[in-house]
Amino acid sequence: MRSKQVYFKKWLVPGIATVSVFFLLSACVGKSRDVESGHTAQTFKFSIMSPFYSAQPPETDDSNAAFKALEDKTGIKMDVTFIPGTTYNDKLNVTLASGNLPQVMVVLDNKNAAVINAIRSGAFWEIGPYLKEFPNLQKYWNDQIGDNISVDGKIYGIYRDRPFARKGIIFRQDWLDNLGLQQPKTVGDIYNIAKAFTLNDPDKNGKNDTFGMSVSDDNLMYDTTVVLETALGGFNQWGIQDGKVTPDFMTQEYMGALKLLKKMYDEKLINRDFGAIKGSKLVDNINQGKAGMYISSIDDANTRHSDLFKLNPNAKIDIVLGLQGPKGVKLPANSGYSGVFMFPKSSVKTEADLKGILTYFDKSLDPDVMKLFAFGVEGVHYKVENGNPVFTNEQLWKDQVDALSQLRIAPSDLTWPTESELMKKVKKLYQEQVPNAVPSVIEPYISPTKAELGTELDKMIDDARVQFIMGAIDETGFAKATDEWRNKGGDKMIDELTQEYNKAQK
Amino acid sequence: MRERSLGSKVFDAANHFVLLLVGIVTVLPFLYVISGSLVSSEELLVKKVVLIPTHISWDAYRYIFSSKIIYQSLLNTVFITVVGTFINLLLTTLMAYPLAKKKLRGRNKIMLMIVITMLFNGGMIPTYLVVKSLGMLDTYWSLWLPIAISAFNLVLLRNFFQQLPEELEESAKIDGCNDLRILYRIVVPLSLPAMATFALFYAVGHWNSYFSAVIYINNSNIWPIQVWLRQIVMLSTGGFTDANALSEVVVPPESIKYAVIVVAAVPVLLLYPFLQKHFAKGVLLGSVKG
Amino acid sequence: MNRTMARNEEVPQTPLSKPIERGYVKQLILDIRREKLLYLMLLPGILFFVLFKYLPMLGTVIAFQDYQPFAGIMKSPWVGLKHFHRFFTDPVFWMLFKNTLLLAVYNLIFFFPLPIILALMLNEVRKQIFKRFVQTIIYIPHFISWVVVAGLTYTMLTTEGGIVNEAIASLGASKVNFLLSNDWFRTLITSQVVWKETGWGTIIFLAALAGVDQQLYEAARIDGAGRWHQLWHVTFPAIRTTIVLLLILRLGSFLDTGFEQIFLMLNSGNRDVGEVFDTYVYTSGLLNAQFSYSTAVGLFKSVVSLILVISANALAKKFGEEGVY
Repeated sequence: MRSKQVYFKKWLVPGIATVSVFFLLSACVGKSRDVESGHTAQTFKFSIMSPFYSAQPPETDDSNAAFKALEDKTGIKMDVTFIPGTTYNDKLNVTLASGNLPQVMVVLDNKNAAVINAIRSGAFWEIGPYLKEFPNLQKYWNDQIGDNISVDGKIYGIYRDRPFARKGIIFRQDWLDNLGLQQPKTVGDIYNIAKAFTLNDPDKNGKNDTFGMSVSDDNLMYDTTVVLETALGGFNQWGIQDGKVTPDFMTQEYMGALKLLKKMYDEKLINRDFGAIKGSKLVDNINQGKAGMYISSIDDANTRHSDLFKLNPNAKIDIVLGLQGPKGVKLPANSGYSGVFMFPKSSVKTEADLKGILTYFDKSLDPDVMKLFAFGVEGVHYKVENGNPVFTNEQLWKDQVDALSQLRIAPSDLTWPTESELMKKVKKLYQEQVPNAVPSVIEPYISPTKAELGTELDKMIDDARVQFIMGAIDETGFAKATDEWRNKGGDKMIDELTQEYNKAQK
Repeated sequence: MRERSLGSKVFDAANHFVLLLVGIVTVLPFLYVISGSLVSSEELLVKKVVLIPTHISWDAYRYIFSSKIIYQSLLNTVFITVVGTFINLLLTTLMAYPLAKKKLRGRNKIMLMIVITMLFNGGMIPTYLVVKSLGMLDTYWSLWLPIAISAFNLVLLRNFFQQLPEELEESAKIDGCNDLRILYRIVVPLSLPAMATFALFYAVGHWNSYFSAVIYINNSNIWPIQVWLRQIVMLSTGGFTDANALSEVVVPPESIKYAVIVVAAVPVLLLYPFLQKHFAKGVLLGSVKG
Repeated sequence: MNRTMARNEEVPQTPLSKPIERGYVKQLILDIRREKLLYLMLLPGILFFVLFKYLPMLGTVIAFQDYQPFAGIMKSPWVGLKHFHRFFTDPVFWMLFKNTLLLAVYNLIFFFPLPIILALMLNEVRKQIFKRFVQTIIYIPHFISWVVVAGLTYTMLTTEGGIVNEAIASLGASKVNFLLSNDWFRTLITSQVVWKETGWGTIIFLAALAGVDQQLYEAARIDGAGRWHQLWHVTFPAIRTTIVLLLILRLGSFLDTGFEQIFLMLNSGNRDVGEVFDTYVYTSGLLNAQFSYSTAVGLFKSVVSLILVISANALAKKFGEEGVY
């Protein structure tokens, strides 16, 4: 930095004429983020950076009645910087590098090397010890999720709660009814239903134009394989075998799931282009009425099928969470959170400031604040009919209230009486299936090798998986990929994680 | 005019035919994009390829323009593009002109220095730190100055300048014009096709950029429209489903992706014919004689 | 970087070159005095390159560190050639090199000449309306983002009801899995570039052609030159320097493949031929916040480009062309 400044002087002197003219002009645009963190007598104010996933971020000033109400109800003022979801991680990295951190930042990937390094060099407040001072936060806190977000056994942030038990099967109930079939209960049922959906004309249009299960590249990786293998009694990505942390693809159950998928592929029960599609194309297959089933987060059943119902008003969608297998009903557990609010020490200077900020999160769990986040302000976004809130201006609600949800924490199974029947079922299943959810054992641990090579190694296995299902490689080929994985850093990763695991067990 | 030979006629016919074919190949997918933006999501989902929509649906455009911020951003983009392109052209011309002078000592060294910047780049974080230490964060300057000159355009513009006949400048010099005057009175007017070209290149660059705005500017009120358009495209391809998790993500209709392209491309497409008139032949000749 | 800059202004300390260099610097100072205005015009540009290009370039030292954004360059540990070692000893290195090189060569052979040919063809059109019309529409694809191009490609080529495969099937042949195939990848990528960028690429040549002195055609016609002759002896020479320049500059970014485009088309079925430096750096470097590693790979690419550009420029000069510098 020093040398840079010297350099600047050398060049700025001759160049000052040109540049300074520009800068004189620049004073009028934009506003600076630096916020006086402070206790004025009444209101506490903090700055916060968060991603957003709506078409535009909500206003965060008095023009947004919901935001104003939020500030009034919590007694805290916020200066919010919303960043588009796709660019968020880049923004986070430059922000970390610039040293000019907001007082609260959402960290999406809190196990990323840059973040871990910042945590270990003392950049963030350890908030674990403060939690007990805040009754709502204490009630909100789940120790398993707490473990999952921990770094070196300590808590550095407040997680944004998500359901543990979430990945299940979504299918066309009307197709099942047409064929007189039961909802799937086992992995075998999945196969049988897929077969019937493919061969037995489930839509009764007399044409052979349907197939059993929609699969896409990313969906195979995150959802389909793990749901099948856990049901078969296997790991959810990582488990313990012979006292060692072991990845799923070295297990029998995994191969069982893979062979089943291969069989389904060979029999044309799944789409043949699955390796080439990503994102919403998975659901397009369902909405087009071509496929009858897919494996995903069960709440997708509620949100992603509006096109299906427009095209086919008689379509019915239902869900199953957890499949029966040799070890009983099982399903993969998620990490239980999506992103963590963290508090940099360089901008949150005192303990009092930290407590002020934690107060906001504590208050955001008050029932009336939760209701505010869900429905907005009465008279602006909704009115009350028969004791239940009814939206009066849904677009306004989406723009002003729904988009604000990035700033809150809330229990993931929070339900409202106004929700759809399907959503009520979804949330009931979330709760019911928690005991059956198989966690990935490495969630709380950090392996330097994984941080460095993780994605690259994952990719090798992902490729081998797709190639196996498509028949490009056989079991020996898959074993070869596994060996390559081990040699390229996988073994080291296993050792590091096993060590961490053993340390934690003591 | 002499009578054209048969060979010449055949040549012309073949030429026209091939160009027409090229035109069709490029324009058909665009028609697809336009009609894709005008059909309802269900129709798009069923048919996949729609060249003439049966029912026109403005949903996609309504979705894009439902937010107030989009109008503000459109103005921002226009402002960023106009001022940015002006800065680009000013600085690029100013630098290309002396470098086009064969007699200028050290010019090849400077050219090499410029070419090296095309090959080695410092990356996002170091550039960010420079922009920050110059106090340009949260101002439009962060969108203009770090890309004030494109080395690529500079090299090409210098090439254009070099091809102008030197005698013109010599005579102007004898008339007592200084270099700056020669540049603006003679060289630039003679290079209008080139200037139009680089104006287009720079303008399109500004028009399409979104990343630096998000990185350098926190205040979303001064973001360009591309930030939102891109966000909308990401939403509609389903890129966010996992991240957004619980809140009820409404995936916008597929047609959005196409509407976004129309909204983003049409203003620049309209710009082209205006610039195109400068590509007319004989600019040089005319102005010299005139 | 200090050094590069200083070469112009300061006297290097090697005694042998001293007299010559002193003479040069003296001359330079004299020149600057004489042509004050010209050198002054260079100043804003030089300032720009120093501030926004060379200063950040100092940041590439992180290739020799384990750089952590929060710690900063000053506090990040130095690791020497660790990242280069990892990169060069990685078994995929040669695969990446081959894939990148092949795509670049395909691009050079099948894409690079097209805008030139198209510009020459347009130049031969006499009906202004037709010319303008074609000119305006052929550059439209440039504005269609890669996401949509990839989507269109999918829609046409997928085995699940894609137009092309339906056509193949109706002819009784078996469907081709274009999207998941090693054999088709390079063809797909190159065709996409040809479709999207050819029209846009003509603009620069059309601008060069607009500068051609009409008297030259007049003169050629009086000499009885036919159209081919005019094309070859009047039109083509007018854009030759531009072609050479673009070729040299193209070599400067030879190993840069379109990241977004390839990333969108890449999948488990074609990664063996499709993975290139840029996509590899993304998954192995940037996704894991491995900035040092990404920078090291970038540095390698830069050095290769530098060698290519210097050679190409020398070659161009040998053939009597102007060259870039």
